[in-house]
This record gives sequence, C-alpha cells and structure tokens, in this order.
Amino acid sequence: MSRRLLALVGLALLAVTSVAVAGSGAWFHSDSDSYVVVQAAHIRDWLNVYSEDTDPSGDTGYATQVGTSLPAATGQDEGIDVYFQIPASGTYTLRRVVKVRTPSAFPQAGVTNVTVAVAITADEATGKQPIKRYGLDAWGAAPNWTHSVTGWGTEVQRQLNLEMRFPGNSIPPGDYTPHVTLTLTYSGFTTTYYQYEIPIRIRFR
Amino acid sequence: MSAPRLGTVVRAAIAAATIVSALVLVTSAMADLASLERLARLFEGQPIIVNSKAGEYIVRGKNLVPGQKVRGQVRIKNKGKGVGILYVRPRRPVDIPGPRGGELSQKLVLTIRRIDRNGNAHTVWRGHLATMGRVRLAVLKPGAVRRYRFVVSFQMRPPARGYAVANQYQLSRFRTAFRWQLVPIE
Repeated sequence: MSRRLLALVGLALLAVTSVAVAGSGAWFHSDSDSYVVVQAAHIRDWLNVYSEDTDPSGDTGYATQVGTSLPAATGQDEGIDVYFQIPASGTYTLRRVVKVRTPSAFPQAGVTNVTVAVAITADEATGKQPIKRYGLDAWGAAPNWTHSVTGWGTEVQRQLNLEMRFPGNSIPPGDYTPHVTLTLTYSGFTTTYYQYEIPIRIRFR
Repeated sequence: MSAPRLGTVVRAAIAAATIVSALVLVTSAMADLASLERLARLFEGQPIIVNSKAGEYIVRGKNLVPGQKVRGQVRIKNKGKGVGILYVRPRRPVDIPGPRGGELSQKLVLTIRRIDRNGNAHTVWRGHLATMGRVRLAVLKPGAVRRYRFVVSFQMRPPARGYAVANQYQLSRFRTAFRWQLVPIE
C-alpha cells in the first residue's frame, strides 16, 4: 500500500512540475533540423572491368594460368582478382587478362569520349616489377602495348595484355603483386580521381 | 475518522489530483500546439524559429568529383516575441565509406553565406564539415529573417605521388542533419 502511495505522490509531483516548467518558459529554446547528403562519384559509371565469368557479352578466350585451363581473372570492377602461376623458365605474354569497356552512356552530359591511361607499379613488398610490357589494346587484336587510349567512345571494349619478365637473378621465383592502374579523364576534368587499381598476383614457380 | 479510512481518502485525493493535472497538461499542450501563433502566446516573449527547409535537404549532391560544389539555400525566421541567438550545428553525422574506405567528410568543406537584401553573399562560416561544432550565426529580433546559402565542396589536392589518395573517396557518402536553434536572450 505504501508503495502505491509513493508512486501516486511521484506522479502528482511530476505532473505539477511539468505544467509549471512548461508554463514558465524557462527551459525554452526553439529548434529545427535540415539535412545535407553528398556522395562521391565512382569510376564504374564510366568504365567497367570484366573477367570471363562476368563478361556481359559472353566473350571467351581470356588468359588462363600458364599450363592450365583455369581462368586467371575472376570478378569485376574493383572486385577483380587476377592470379597467375607461371613457370620460372621463360617469358610469357598474357593476352586478354581482363576486358575494359565503356558503358552505353557517360554520366556527364556533353562528354562523348574519354581518355584512359594504363600504368604499372611494382610489388610493394620486394620493390620488384615482374611485368615487362603492358597495354590496353583493341579487342581481339595482337598486343600493341598501348599506354594511353584517347577518344574512347561509349560501348567500346579493349583488352589488357601483359608480358612477364624472364625470371632470373633480378626476379627470383616467388610471389609478387604488382598493380595495373587505369586512370580515366575527359575534357575539362583532368584530376587524378577515376581509377581502377588492379592487383596482379603472380607466382613464379 | 479511523486511520485506514483517512489513508483511503488521501490516496483518492492524490489520484484525482494526478488525473486532473494530466488532463490539464494534455489539453493545454494539444490546444497550444495547434498553431505557431498559439505556441507563441503560450511562450510569451520567447523566440520561435521557422525554417524553410525543416525536415528537408538544404544540399543534396550525387556523383561529386574533386573540385565540384553543390549548394542550397535556407530561410530562417524568428516568429516569436523574444530576441534569440541563432545557432547551427551538425547533428548525427554519418560517413559511409566507399569500397576503398575513405571517409568523405574529411574532404568536404562547408561555406555558409548570408544573403543580404540586395542578394549579396557574405561568408559567415567556412571549414571542414568533419570539424564543425556549434556556430553562432546571428541575433534575431522578433520577425527578423535571414537567408543562408550552404555550399559544400569536395576538396582534394592532387596526390603528391601514387594513386591511393585520389582513389579512396570514390562512392563514399556523407549525411548529416543540421540543427538550427534560437536561444532566448535573458
């Protein structure tokens, strides 16, 4: 009974206090919320990278791991994964490692073509560069080792070709992960922003 | 009167008082919240904020690239009877990093400009959104109106070397509320 009495007294006090405080205006300040939301652009709206298993056109003939029929690349865009096992006894040219393709329309009004530059960086752990030559070349054509493609319109695809160095004293057998970087720019936008960074995992065995 | 009977009467009286108080409170609140004018009467002498973008976006930007700006305007009025200090502060900021993990707020610079009657813009605050706290913007007399332009720019210096710095903000998203507050001057 005494608990009920205490609860009732508490409620009564709360009610009276609430009315008194609200009426006094002592607590009062007026506020209101507005919002801001922003999202950064992504290269995949401008350029896509495909492997044989994600190729929307169903094209085949992609590079395989040397001496096997296993595809070297899987996934697409920033999720692309490239892995080669290569005998440390020769020089290998790897054709059609991935497909690089522009979409049916560019997101920026007025842009009808883009420039894509390809570059390589050495394996971070060892500082060694097992890739000798690289290029974004015409689909189905022989390697021409093109480092920069200008005037690249919509729905055009090219292939990434790589040539490995001959393993030896400078590149001993082991694991390396150099990177291939694709940088896209267009007229009026030259900032280094739209990029794919594709790790190329290589095991010389 | 016996003790148990006295206790019953006291309890009944407290219960009745509680119910009456609650009814008064609810009725008063409902009546007074029906319109801002009534609210103003209830809080006589207090400033009351009216925000043209209440619950809405002042700035909304998609597919931003470094160097790009997005902007929007808001109108703030003191509809109360008292003078108030106008403050604004970010509230519940949320960074949603893209695939490469960069937090976009680190690269967003906000400029707040007051637009005067002639349409001229005067910068009243500028800085990184990530470091913004409560900002005092103005003292608003009853009936006073201020227009503010929010400019959010994606600022990123070109990378000194390599590519990771430029890449890491792709597809990152940032969202925040801005709380406008009119605090009465005693």
